[in-house]
Amino acid sequence: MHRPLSGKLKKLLFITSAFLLFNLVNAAAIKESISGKAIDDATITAGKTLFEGKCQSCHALNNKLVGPALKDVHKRRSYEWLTKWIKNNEAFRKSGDKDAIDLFEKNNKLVMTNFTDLKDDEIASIVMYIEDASAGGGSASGAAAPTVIETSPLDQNVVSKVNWVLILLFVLVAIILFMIVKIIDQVSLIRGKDIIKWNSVNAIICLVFMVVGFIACGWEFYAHGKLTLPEAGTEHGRKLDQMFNITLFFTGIVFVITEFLLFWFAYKYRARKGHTAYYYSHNNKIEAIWTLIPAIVLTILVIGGLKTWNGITNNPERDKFNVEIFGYQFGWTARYPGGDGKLGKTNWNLISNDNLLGVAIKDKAEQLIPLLEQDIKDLEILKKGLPQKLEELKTTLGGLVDEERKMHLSKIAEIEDGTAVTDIEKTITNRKIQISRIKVSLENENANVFYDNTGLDDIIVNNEIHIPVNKTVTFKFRGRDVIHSAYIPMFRSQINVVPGLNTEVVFKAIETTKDKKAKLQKPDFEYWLLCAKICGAGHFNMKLKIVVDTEADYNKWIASQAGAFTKQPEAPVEKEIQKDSTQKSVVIN
Amino acid sequence: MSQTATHNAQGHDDHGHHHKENFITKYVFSQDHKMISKQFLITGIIMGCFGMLMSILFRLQLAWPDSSFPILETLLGSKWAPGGKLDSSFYMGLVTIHGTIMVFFVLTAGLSGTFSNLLIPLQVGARDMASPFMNMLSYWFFFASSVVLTASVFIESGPAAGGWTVYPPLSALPKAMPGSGLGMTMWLIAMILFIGSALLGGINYITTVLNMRTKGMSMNRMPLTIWAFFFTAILGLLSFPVLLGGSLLLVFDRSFGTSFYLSDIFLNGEGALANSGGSPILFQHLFWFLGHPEVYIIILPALGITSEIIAVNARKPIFGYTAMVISIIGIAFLSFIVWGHHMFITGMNPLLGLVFMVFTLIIAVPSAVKTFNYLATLWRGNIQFTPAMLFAIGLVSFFISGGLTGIFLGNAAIDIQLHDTYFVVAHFHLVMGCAAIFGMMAGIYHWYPRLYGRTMNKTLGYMHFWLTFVSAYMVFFPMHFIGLAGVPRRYYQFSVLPEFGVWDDVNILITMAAILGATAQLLFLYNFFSSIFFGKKSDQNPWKSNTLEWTAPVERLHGNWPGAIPTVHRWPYDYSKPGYEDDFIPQTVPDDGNEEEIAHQHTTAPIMPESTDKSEVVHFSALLSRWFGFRNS
Repeated sequence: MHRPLSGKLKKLLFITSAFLLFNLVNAAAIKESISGKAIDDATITAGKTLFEGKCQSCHALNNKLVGPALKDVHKRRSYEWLTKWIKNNEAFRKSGDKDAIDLFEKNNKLVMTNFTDLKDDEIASIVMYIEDASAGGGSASGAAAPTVIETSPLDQNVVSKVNWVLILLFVLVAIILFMIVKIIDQVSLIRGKDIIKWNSVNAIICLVFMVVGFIACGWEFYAHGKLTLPEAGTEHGRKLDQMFNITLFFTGIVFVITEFLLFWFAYKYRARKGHTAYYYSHNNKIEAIWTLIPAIVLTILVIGGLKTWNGITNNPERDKFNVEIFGYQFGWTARYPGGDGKLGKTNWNLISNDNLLGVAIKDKAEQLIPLLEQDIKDLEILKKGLPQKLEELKTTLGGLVDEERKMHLSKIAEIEDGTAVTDIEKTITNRKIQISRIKVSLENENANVFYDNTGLDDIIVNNEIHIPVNKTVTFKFRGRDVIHSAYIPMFRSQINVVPGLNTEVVFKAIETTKDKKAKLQKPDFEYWLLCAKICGAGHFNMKLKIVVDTEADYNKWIASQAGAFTKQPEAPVEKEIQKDSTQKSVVIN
Repeated sequence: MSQTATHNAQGHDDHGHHHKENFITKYVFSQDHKMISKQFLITGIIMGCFGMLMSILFRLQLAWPDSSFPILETLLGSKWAPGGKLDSSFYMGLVTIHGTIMVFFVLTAGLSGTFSNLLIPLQVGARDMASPFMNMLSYWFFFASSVVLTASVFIESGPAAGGWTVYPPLSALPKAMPGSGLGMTMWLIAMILFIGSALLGGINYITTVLNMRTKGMSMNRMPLTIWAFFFTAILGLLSFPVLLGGSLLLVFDRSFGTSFYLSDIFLNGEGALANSGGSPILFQHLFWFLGHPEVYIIILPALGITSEIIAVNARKPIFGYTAMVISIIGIAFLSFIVWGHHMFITGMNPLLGLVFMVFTLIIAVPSAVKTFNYLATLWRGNIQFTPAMLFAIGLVSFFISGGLTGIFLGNAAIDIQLHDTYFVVAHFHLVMGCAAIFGMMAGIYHWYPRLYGRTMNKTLGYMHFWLTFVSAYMVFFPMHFIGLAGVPRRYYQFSVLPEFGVWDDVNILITMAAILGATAQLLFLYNFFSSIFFGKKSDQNPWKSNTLEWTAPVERLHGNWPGAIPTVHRWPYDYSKPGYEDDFIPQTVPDDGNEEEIAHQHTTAPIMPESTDKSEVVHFSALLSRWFGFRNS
C-alpha cells in the first residue's frame, strides 16, 4: 500500500508545484488545505481511499456514528492537532492536551485506534478529503466527490413528521376499533346474545389469512428471491447453495401442507349447530408413519449436510497459500507472506505502535522493552500526581456548570474511591508482566520457538486485499481484542476470529471481481468481508474489500506492495519452524 | 402418597384455623401459589412492555437511520440520542437488554413461572406447592433480579451491550466498550439472582408433581401442561447451574484477575493484557449448555398450554397423548446434547460440528410429531374460537414456520452462510419468541377466570389476536430474505454496503408492522387490567373443561378446595366421548366400569393405591417402561 501511495505522492508533489506556479499567476483561484498543501484531485482520491479503509468504520461526515461527525473538522482543530490525534491519540491524551481529553470524555470514553502506521502525507490527504467533502465535494474538479460517506444531515422535518403521523394513525385506528368493540358488546348485552357469530367470523378470517398469507409468501419470493443467496463466488459455496436448495425443497413442501391443513381444519371444523366432534384419541399406525417420514427426510438432509460440511472443512489443499487476516475493534488488516512464502510468527505481547500485528521480530522486541519501561515510569508519575490532581480538580470545580461539572465530578469520584489508582496499578502490572514475557522469549535458548525471522519480509495490507482466482487460498484469522466473525457472504464463508485461538477458512474463488462485475452488469460490485459477531459500537461498519484477480494481475499487485519491516534481516533466515507454544491452532473450513 | 394426602389435609386445616392474612402476607409476601402466579404474571407483563418498547426504539433506528426523532432526545437525553438519533452504543445496549428481558424475564419467568405456579397444584390436585415458602422466595429473587436489570438501563455508562449471550472477552473487559463496565456487572448480578429464582421454582415444581398428586392422579393421567412444566423444571434444574458457574467465572475474570476466558489480548487503550491460557470459547460452551435447553424451557410450557387449549376448544381428546409425552421427553433429553449448533463457526473442531448437527436434526422428529398431533386433534373437531384457541392455533403456525427454518440452521454447512444473520433472527423470533408469547397469551385468556374469577373481553381478544398475528408475520417473515442476502444481525444501520440499501423499504415495513403489533398490545393491556375489576363474572368452569383446576370454586381460597381434594378417575381428555350427554367428562367423574381408558387400552391404568410404598422413581420407571412396551405392541 505504501508504494502506490508514494507514486501518488510524486504526483501530488508535481501537482502541488504546478499549482504553486499557477499561484504566482492567479492567487485567488487557489484553495489551500489546512495542511498547507494545495487541494488537488489525486490527493483527495488517495485520501478518500484511506478514509474508507481507516476511518469509515467509525466516522461519517454528517452524523455521529461511533465517533463524532467529521464535517468541518478542519475548522475546529488545527492540522497539527489532528495529526497528533490520529497518529497516537492515547499518547496525546496522556501528554495532557485538554482538548484531546475533553473529546475523549465527551465521546463516552470510547478509545480510538492509534494509526501510527499512517504517514504524514497520508494524514494530509485524509484531511484534504474531509475538507473537500465538507465543502460539498469537488472543490478541485469534482472528480473525487464523496460517495460512501455522503450521508445527508439528519432529516428533522419531513420524514419524522410522516412517521409520527403514521404512528398517530395506528393509535387512532386502535381507538376506533376499541369503540366498535364497545358498541358490539353493549348491543350484545342488551339483546342477550352475541350479535356477531364470532365463531364463523374467526373461522373465515383463518381461511382468508391462509390465502392472503400464501399469496404474500409467493410475492415475497418473487420480489426478494433474486436478492437471496446471489451466485456464490467460490467452489464450496456452490455446493452449500445446493444443500440449501435441497433443504428448501423439503421444508417448503412441509410448510405448505401443514400450514394449509392447520387453517383449513380450523375453518372446516368450526363449531356450528348440529356439529359434534369425533372422539378419536390415537392411532398408532398413523403416528408411526408420521414419525418415520420426517425421520427419513431428515436422514437424507443429515447425510447431505455431513458431506457438504466435510467437503468444506477438510480441504486437502489447506495451507498451500496463506494470507493472515487480523481483526480488531473496528477493522481488518491483512498480512501476506513475503518472498519466503511463510508468515512470520506472532505474539500479542509484541503489539506496539510500530508493530501493530505483533509480528515476532527480535529487533522490534528488543526495542519495545525500553518503551514499556518508560510507560511504567510515566504511569508511576501519574499515580504520584493523583492527590495533586484531585486538589486541582476540586479548586477548579467552582466555576463549572452542566456537562463539564459532571465530568469533573466523575473524575474526582474516580480518584477518591480509588478506582483511578487501581486502574493505574493494574496497567503497571500488565506492563511488567509483558516485559518479563518478552525478556523470557528473547532469552530462550532455542530462539526459534518465538522468533524465526520469516516475518521480516511479510507484507501488511490495510485497505483492500487481492487474491488470485482459481487457486485455493487459506485465510488465517487472528484476533486482538474481542471476538469478531469474518463473514464473506459472496464466498459462503464465515469463521469467528477469537483472541488466543487461530482459526481459518479454505476456499477457491472461481470468478474474478472484473468478470463478476461484467456478468452482473454492476460496475460497483465488490466482494466484502464483514464482521458478523457483535464486537462493540462500530460492529456494523467493519469491512474489508477483497479483490479477486487473475493470477497475472495478482502477481503485479503483490509485487507493488512493500515489505512491512523495511530493515533487512541481519541474521540469516532460519529454515526450521517450530510450533509456537503460545498459540493454539484449531482448523475449520 | 397417603402420607402426603394427610399432610395436605392437615396443612389445609392449619390455614383454615390459624392463618390470619393481612395485606402484606396476602398481596406482597404471599405464599399462596395463585397469588405468586399473579405476581409472576404481572411482573412478566411489565418487563414484556419494557422489552417491547426497546424493540420499537431500535426498529425506529433501523427503519429511518437518516432521520431525527426529537422525542427520542427528550426521552433518552442527549447522551443516548444526540440530535434525536439513537447512539450506536446505546443501540447495542437496547438489543442486549431486549434479548435478556424477553428470553429470561418474560418467556422463562413470566410464562413458566406464572403457569407452573398456577396450574401444577391445581391440576394435580394439591393444596399448594411442596414448599410455599421457597415458592415465595423464588418470586422475590425474580423481582430483585428484574429491578437490578431494569436499573442497569438507567446508569451513566449504559446497560450491558454485548448481546444477550454476553460473550467474553467483550463482556469480560470493562474497557472494551462502555456497556461492559457497571452495566455488565449489574447484568451478571441480575442473572445470578434470576438463576436462584429459577432453581427454587424448579425444585418446587418437580417435587410437587412427583409427590403431591391427588388420589387417582397417576403420572399417565396428568394433563399435558403438567408434563410440559415438569420437564421444563427438570431442564432448568440441570442447566441453570451451569450458567451460574459460567457467570461466576466471568465475574472472577472481570473483577479478580483470573483468566478463564481470556488470553492473547491487546486492547485498544489498555495495551497487552497479562491474561493467558484461557479460552473465550469455554464460556460459549457453558452458556449454550444452558442456552439451548433454555429455548425448550421457553417453548415446552407454551406447547403444553397449547395441547390443553386445543383439546378443550376442539372438544376432542388430544391426539396421541402417549406420543406427545414421549416427544416432550425426547425433546428434553436431546436438548442437552445439541448446544454446539450455536457454535459451528466458532473454530470448534469440525468433527464436533458433525455430531451436533446429527443430534440437532433429530430434534425435528419429535417436534414434527407434536405438530402433526395438533393437526390431528383439530381434524373433525368442533372448534370453539375463543381468543385462547386462536392464540393456540397461532402458536402452531409459528412453530411450523420457525421450526422449519431450524432445519437450515441446524445443518452445519448451511449455517456457515446463515450464522449471525437476520435469518437467525427470523428463525428464533418465530419459533421461540412469537410461538412462546402466543402460548403465554393463550394461557392468559384461558386461565384468566381461574386467576381473577372473571373473563377477559372476547371481542378485544379477537382484535388483539388478529392484529398481533398479522403484524408478527409481517415483522419476521421478510427477515428471512434479508438474512439470505447476507446481512449480519445487530447492525446499527445497513450502511456498510451499498447493496444493503435495497432493504430500506423492507425495514420501514417491518418497523411499521412492529409498531402496529405494539399498539395491539395496548388492547391487551387494557383488557387485562380492566377485566380484573370490570370483567364479566365467570362461571366455575367457563370452557367446559375436564381438568381439576375447574373443580375448585371461583373464590380464591388458600388451599384451593374447601373440602377434601377431589379424587381423579380418568384421564383429562374425555371430550365428546360417545355415550355421554355432555361433550366433556371431568376427571372427577367415576368410571362406569365398562369404559376403557382410551389412552391405555392394553393395560388397565391402576389408580395409584393409597398405601403404595413404591418410591416415585420405581413407579416412574415402571410407567415409562409400560409406555414403551405399549408403543411396541
